[in-house]
Amino acid sequence: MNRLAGRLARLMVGCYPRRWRRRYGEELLALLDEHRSGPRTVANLALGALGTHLDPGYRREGVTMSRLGSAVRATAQVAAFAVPVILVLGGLLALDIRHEQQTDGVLTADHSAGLAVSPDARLGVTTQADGIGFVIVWRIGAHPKVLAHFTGGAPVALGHGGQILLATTPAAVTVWSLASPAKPARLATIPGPGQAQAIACAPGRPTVAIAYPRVIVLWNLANPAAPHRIAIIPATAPPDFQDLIAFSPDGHRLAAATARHTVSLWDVTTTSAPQYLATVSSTGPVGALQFSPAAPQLAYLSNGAVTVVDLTDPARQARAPMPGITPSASHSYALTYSPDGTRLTAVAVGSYQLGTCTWTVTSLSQPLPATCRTSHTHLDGEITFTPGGTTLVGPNNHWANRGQNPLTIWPTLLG
Amino acid sequence: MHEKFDGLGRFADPSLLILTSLADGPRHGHAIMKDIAAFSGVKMEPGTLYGALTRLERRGWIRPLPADDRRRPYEITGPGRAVLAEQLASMARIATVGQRRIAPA
Repeated sequence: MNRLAGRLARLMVGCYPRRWRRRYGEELLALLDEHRSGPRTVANLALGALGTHLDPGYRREGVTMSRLGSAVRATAQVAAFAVPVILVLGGLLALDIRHEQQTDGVLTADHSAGLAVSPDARLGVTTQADGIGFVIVWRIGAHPKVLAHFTGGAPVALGHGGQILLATTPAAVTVWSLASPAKPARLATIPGPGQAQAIACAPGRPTVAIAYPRVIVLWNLANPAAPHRIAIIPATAPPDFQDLIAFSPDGHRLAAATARHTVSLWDVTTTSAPQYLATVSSTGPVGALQFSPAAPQLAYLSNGAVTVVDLTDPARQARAPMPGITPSASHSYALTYSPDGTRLTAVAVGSYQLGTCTWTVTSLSQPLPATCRTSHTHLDGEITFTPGGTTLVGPNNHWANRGQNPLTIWPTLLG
Repeated sequence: MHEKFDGLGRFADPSLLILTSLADGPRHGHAIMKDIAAFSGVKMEPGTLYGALTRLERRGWIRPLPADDRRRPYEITGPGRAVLAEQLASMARIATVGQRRIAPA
């Protein structure tokens, strides 16, 4: 009876409003792990879920609801509570419900605040809030599935070929082993002077860069269980670093976007003694940063246009707009070079529209030839390319997913 | 009952117990339930606890602290401590009057 009540109690958490679950769901589930649940617990949670649905603070969860009359709205809210309860009761009697399926009902990847994908595009990590909330580890591919979740937030990064995960809490960055992705193991905690703004792992090197508002700190994670601080890079001028930093593919250069609408560059070949190289200006907030894998080039997206910088002479730049893309803070952006470095592709996603442009970047002295298109999309939220740009990964908000927005591979966008 | 507490409706009593528990220091949900059971004998259920925590946090009487793994501790705020003091003083006055009135003449 207690086991059945325990299961039912956990499932009742899924009957709370989604917005409430995002804030309190994980800690309530943690409490239930310690609590001896009985029928009284289940009834208490059912009443709590119903009460929360009727709570004015959680009443309006969608535009459609706000358009309905109050009587219809109240009926819909009770139905929104009652239908899952009936389904849960029926399902519990008919099925042996596994833990993974229980938690799937609580977690969603929509409005992801952070995203990281393993180089082989088999594992993805999303977060639901900056610094606090859930970190969700996904198996991605034909059948996306939540493998694990734990407390933490954005930014996140995957290192060591996807074997370790760095996630953020308000006070520190935590290092997790993903050797068994369904059971992440905490390896270490990296303290910092505040909440991390951005994290980047150097390809092929054990170096990790963590950006804070005033400094970037380089860490050696050769032994992920014992991070070793290598160097501190101060901001070149106040105010703050933005939430974007990136290593070059060889791990020898580091770029960071700043709140002053600039991009600063360092040579980190000798990680213990980073050398400041240059700062280039953008026309607005930087939405994506990417080094070329083959040429001394850095590309960034800002204000609906891409800028390509010649790193041998940062004054040499080429700028090209993305036709059909209106710059918006709600858009998500991603950049990738082709493996030979001759083509640069930018993607912008927002408001069910997807815009892609591909430019030839072999010469910056002439206007960049471009191929652009826009289309309808179910991509929604943070997006990122896998190394080499063969796949784009992001949440899928198709209606059939019922708000679960599984992390999905989008392989055909680049054409 | 203090008028600010009155607005909590059916969560007034659980809120008083939670604020009293947190007045002793930050605690996470399960620790709050155990503490309340120890000092009052009330066995609070998780749904009631989180219903009250939601409202107390919204009113700014408690604040969440960084999570310890999956468990999130809460601490009482200055306004929460002030409201608790007013409510306890009000209850003490009621208790004094009540005890005087039921005392043998």
